[in-house]
Amino acid sequence: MKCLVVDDSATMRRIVINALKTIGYGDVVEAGDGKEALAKCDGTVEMVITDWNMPSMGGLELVKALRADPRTAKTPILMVTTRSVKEDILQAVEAGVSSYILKPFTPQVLKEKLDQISSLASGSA
Amino acid sequence: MDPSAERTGPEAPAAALLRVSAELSRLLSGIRLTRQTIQSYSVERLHDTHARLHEVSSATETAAMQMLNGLDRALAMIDQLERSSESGPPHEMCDALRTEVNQLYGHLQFQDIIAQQLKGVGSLLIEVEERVRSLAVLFDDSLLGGRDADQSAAPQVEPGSFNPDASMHDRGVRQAMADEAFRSAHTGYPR
Repeated sequence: MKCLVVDDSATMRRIVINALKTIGYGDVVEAGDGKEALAKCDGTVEMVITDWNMPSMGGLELVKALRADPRTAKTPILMVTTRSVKEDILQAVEAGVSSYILKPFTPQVLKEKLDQISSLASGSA
Repeated sequence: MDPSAERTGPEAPAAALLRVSAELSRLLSGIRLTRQTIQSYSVERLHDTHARLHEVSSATETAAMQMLNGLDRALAMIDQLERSSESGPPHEMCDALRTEVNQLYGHLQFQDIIAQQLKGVGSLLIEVEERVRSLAVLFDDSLLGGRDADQSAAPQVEPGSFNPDASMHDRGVRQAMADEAFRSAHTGYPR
């Protein structure tokens, strides 16, 4: 599965990519903000893993843009963020995220969420 | 001046005006000194503090990237050891080493969280600096001209690019609460 990792922190992108690699997701591309991510959603990306707080175009805007585009409306989106208040999570659900992880996360939690997303996707296919 | 003279004759109003003028000059000097104090000891120090916080954030990012580079090299060495001759370490030991290195990788998430906290403080400092500068301008509106030059030198913090409440604490508890909130709000996939 080709994953797109979106985070304005180069450190975090490397950490997420390494975590993906340890759980078997080796095909990864990356972007530094929402605008760059949209440009890289070329139809080959099968999963988007995005931060929330980013300059230029944040994660929530990115999610809404992806859901509004018929080409990416059903692409699984995992939000990986430090925002933990209930209102933020509700906003993310409303925008259309498929799952939600808080930083700092472990590869085990990441695998659990990706497995859940894949399972739901298989069930709805 | 003879106090008795100020109460009589045409010179009295003039003398009074002179005294008022002298008092106003002293008052203005005091106000200028206060303005200078605010400018040099508050606004500039706030500006400098904000720049230092940005420097700290950049330094931690650089250090974290260097550590990641080192960990990547360590992982490559483990792979090499595992592929080496029969005299190399057992497979289980290599796996254990990889697990340790990958955990260290994960711990470096602190850098992103600290950077967001620092941006939060920096944003607060910018707000305080603006308020103090507004106060200083009340005393001397020539400061208005200096604002743009100062601000252009300061690293700006884009709103929305950070979460001031970012935290390393209680990871498991917060994730559990987030999962519960997500479950209660989400009714199915895809939306």
